Amino acid sequence: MTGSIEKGAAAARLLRVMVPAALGLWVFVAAGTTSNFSAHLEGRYSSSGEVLLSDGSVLPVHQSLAFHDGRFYALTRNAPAVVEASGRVETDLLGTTRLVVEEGAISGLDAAGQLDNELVFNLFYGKHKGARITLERVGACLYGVETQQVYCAEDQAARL
Amino acid sequence: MSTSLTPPATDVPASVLLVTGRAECRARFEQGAFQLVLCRDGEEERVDLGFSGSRVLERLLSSPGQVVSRDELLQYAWQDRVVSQGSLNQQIYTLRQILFDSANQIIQTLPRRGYLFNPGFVVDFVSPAPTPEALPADSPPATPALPEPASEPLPPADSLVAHAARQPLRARFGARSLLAGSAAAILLAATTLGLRYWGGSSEPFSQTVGFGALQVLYIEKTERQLERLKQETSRLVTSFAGMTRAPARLIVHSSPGFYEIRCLHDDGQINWLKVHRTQVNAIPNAQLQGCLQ
Repeated sequence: MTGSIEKGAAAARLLRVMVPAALGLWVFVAAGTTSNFSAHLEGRYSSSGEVLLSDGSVLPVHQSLAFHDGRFYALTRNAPAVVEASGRVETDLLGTTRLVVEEGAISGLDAAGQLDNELVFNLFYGKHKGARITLERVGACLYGVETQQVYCAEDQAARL
Repeated sequence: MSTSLTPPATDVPASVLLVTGRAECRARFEQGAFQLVLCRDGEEERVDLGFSGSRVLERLLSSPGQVVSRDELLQYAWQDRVVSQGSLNQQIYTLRQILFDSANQIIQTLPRRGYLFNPGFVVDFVSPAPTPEALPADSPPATPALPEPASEPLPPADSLVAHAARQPLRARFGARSLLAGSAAAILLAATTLGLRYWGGSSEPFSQTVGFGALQVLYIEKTERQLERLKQETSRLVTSFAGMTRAPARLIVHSSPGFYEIRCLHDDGQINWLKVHRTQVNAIPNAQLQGCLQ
């Protein structure tokens, strides 16, 4: 009987330590999930320039990515092809942030017959519903792992 | 004997309604009067238990379903008097007779442990109890209508002990579950944090290299690809470095089939040059200048 009481007391003491410890750890995990850069993905990331294709032709390129309230809106133009995509920004328990495409549309592809296949593939990847693009921070920029794209915020470009 | 010497029972109300071994007969234990009042067909029959018999029943009813040792019953019922075990046996026998407990189902014997009062035979605890003086022998019963006892078959003694211990057992089981759950939560959280900080990361490789006034940030998925990128774009980057004397910054990385160069400007503007791999060493200087300006 005494042994049972002692065991019960020990279990109660252990509970008093373990339950707050478990809660604290999960608060830490949750804090890491919500307080990393995904929570600060706001604003506009854009680049403009030129693409030199395999046949030597040059086309204008433009890329814009805007974040607002946990959603993203992207536009990629490899003239004359234009891809629009939008979706949500997800952060998993491991703290990895992903863009999840919910809607996408591509236009002008018929007139873009000279585009290199790799370029077209990347355009299509970013348009498909359910496509996921993992974002990693590199300096002041973001790196899209699957599409191998770099997004730099205009106001942070000087912080390379 | 003086009842003033008797320690008051605190756990048992003044009156306890019981079921006896006969379905048509109920009983009310009035501890203050040391009596069991048997109610049969609207008639009451009072049976004196005596001080010790009443105390034995009182102690058993203070914790129905729990085993009370013989020693404790002897101490409780006879206090400091030295009596033989036979006295207790006699009182138990008498109580069983009064309660029509021929099968020893109401007061159960737990060999080498003691006795317990089967809680299935306890109908209710009533307080305050009517005093014996207020209960004329020929008056109609002052007890409230006896509720029907549970109609379920009575369990054997061992299961009654288990029933009595069920509450703390549940508590212990709940505590164990909580402990196990907490341990699992801690383990899962630690694993999550471990994976987050030491593994499972798809973080790209990057390296900043200076070429005079030009700072180049290379980004690639793997270290090997990074080295390859540096090699394959070295001529291009050298061309950029030769074109600028003012501090400038580039980001160089590859995408499927292409090399991409971003020229970062202090005003926040980013010029982007995307070059097919086959064209990397054939870029007109005008395009490089356009990126830098």
